[in-house]
Amino acid sequence: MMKSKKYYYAYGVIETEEPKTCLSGLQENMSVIPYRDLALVFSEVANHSLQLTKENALAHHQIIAQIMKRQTIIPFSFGTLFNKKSEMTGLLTAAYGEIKKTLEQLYGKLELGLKVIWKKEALAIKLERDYEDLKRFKEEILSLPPDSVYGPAILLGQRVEAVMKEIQSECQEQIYSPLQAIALDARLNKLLNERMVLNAAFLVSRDQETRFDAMVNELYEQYQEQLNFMYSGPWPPYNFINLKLDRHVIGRG
Amino acid sequence: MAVTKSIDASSLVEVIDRILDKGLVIDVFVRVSLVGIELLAIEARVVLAGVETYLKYAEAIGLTKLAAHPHPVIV
Repeated sequence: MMKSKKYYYAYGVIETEEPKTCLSGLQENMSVIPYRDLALVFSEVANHSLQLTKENALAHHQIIAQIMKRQTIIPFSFGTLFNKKSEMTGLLTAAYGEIKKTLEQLYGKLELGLKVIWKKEALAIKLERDYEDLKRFKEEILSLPPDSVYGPAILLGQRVEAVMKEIQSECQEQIYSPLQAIALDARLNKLLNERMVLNAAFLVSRDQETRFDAMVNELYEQYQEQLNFMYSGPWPPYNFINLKLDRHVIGRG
Repeated sequence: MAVTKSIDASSLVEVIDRILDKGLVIDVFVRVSLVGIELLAIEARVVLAGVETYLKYAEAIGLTKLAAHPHPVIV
């Protein structure tokens, strides 16, 4: 019988002196490749096709989140696959210094996330109040016959999009800046819908977590009439991995 | 009312927002094959949704008239 090819799905790199016991509590199909005091956590998979389904995305994250509860982890991006075990060793060998440095920088730190979204009604009120030309344009459109609304509505949408940029920078000043001041590092990410004005990730020292929570709450109190806050974490430090490794670095093993 | 951190691991939006292009990225070649296709599909949807997006912005200022009058479907 032909031996079927196996692939190795990578979850993360951790520091451990006991690679055998660092997986206790995790699913049975999880394994590690040790190299010096590092270990790469992976599972064997039968094929290289993996769909971005809800289940797969959550499975990836949940395993990393479980490991994170016990130790600092460098999480792999979704869908990272190795052909051979030797490639994993190759990665740890070639990037040992950089990995150690990254782990050291992340030790004792948490990633926290904050998305800020305007409440529907509040945003409509603000736009009409602060941008009178847009309000007039909207009223003009409302007086048009239904079948000629489409084009002007797109035009209005484009103008609203432009002024949302101003509203976003306002939000950055009022909400992002004070939080950034407490954090060790911060990232602004892509906004996911038209009413979202902030999508940020913060790297916060564990002993500053309470202070950071308090600052988020203070800002929330101040803006809760108009804005929804989606505050989340602690996350694996997905946003703060500055390691970019080329396949060539790993070598053939 | 206070806002507390949620670590609702089933929040797909929060998870997807992190795991796709963040974390340790080796390079595209190593990544699983179907992910690329799937991502392309998502990107295609985003492009198609361009006009829809502007209509959403129009809605943000309270223009809801369009909802009552279906507009032409753009393919």
